[in-house]
Amino acid sequence: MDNGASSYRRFLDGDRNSFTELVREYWDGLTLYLSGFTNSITEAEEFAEEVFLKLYAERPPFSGKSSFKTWLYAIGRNTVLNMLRKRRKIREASLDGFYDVSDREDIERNHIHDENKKLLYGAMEDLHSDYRQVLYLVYFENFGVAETAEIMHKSERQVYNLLYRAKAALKKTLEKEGFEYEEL
Amino acid sequence: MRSYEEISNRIMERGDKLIESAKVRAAKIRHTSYAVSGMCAAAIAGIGVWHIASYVKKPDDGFNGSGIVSATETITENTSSAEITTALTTTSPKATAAAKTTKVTTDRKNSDTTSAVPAVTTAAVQTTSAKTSTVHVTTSGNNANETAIPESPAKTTTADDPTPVTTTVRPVSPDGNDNGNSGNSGEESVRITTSVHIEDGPTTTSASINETSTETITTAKSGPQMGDGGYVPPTSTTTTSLQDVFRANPSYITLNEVRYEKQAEVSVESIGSYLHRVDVHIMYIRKNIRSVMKAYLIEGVDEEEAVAVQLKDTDEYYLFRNTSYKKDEAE
Repeated sequence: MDNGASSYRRFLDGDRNSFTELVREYWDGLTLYLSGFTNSITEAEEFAEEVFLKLYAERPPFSGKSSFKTWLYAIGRNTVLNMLRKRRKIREASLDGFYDVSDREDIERNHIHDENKKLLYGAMEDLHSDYRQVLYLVYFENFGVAETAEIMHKSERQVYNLLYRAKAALKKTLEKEGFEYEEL
Repeated sequence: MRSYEEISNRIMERGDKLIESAKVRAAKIRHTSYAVSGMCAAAIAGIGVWHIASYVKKPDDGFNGSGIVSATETITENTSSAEITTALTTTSPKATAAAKTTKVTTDRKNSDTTSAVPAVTTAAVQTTSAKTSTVHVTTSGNNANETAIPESPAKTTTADDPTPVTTTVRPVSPDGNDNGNSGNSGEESVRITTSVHIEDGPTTTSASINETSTETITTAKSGPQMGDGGYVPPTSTTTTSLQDVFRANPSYITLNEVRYEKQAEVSVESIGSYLHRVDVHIMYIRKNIRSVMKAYLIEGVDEEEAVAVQLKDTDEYYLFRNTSYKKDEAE
């Protein structure tokens, strides 16, 4: 049982501090992942807050069939898709957008320690949402193809194909900017 | 940038509010559901009772216990300006309305005064109150003034011969004016004029009986022929059994929306199998009395044509016939 799962168990048993531990451990990574669904880091934080609120209020049971992180990210994806489906609104610039840059940098700085990966994550902004998600999950969160497929509700074959096209698109983008990354 | 503790506290605060509101909402829904389910149960029970009420045996509209019909009827008729005229011609001596003996002393030659000693004992025939009255008798004579001296006691004899008697009762005013248009009430005084034709001599005597009375005639109602006006009918209470009412009055039942009307009594031997209970409507004077009785088939008779109904608490069966039944249609 991983650390997140044990923290969640303790939270379900009534330990509120365990919930803070979960937030501390998974907030940044989940926010960056959810930013793949939207270009606003503030909106991604809002989504992440909704995901943790769902954990806190509804307390869904964790079966342990997958890792807690995979389970949490899958919940995050479903929550975001539901929220986007409900909203269907015209994107408007909010006051929170002024803090997007600083927040993004802070989150990236906290979560992505490799400088090359930070440049790479910045280059992913212009990619398609699915490409960004699959690249983030595989190269930044180090999920395997199977886990990525579980989170994204796709088959492994689809994830392979998606990952291949995402890398090609990112490579093309990086070549435009004169940047080379050996791992791609 | 917010710290993780701030984020966590914010989420937990929102979560607590969310949980609290969910609890309140659940409580409201639970209470509402209790109220609604209670109302629905009451409505269903009410509808059910109303629905099965027609199948429950009713208490025979009050005939359940003794089988006695007790009806109180108030009959009020205006008698203020009515005039009662009863023409009665009696031919039988025993049925003579008034046994009358008139002792008349008449001086036809030179007397203007006629002293009549009448004695009238009036026994009413087909009227309701017997009266003993002191009356003025006026005898028609040549140039005779009408003077009558009432005296008492009077002799009473019974006429042996048939004596035609005509009695006229009219309201008169208290002051003795017999003009009908004088505004008398008619309730307080009446004038009874009785014409007696005595054929035992050459003289025909016309006796006029004036009566002033303050009593109101109250009679027991004896039949539907009463109530022609002119008297105040009483409030009468009639007690009759259901069986007598049923036998004496027309009745009908309704089976499968077909009306069957009561005919003659049928023998027990011709009674077939039991059908079911029926509501028998007895048309009694101005009321429609309803009673639950048992209907039976009649052997050899189509149910659509006629059925038999057993009179309640008796062994009598009565034929109820479908008045609109035509044999050709049935065939």
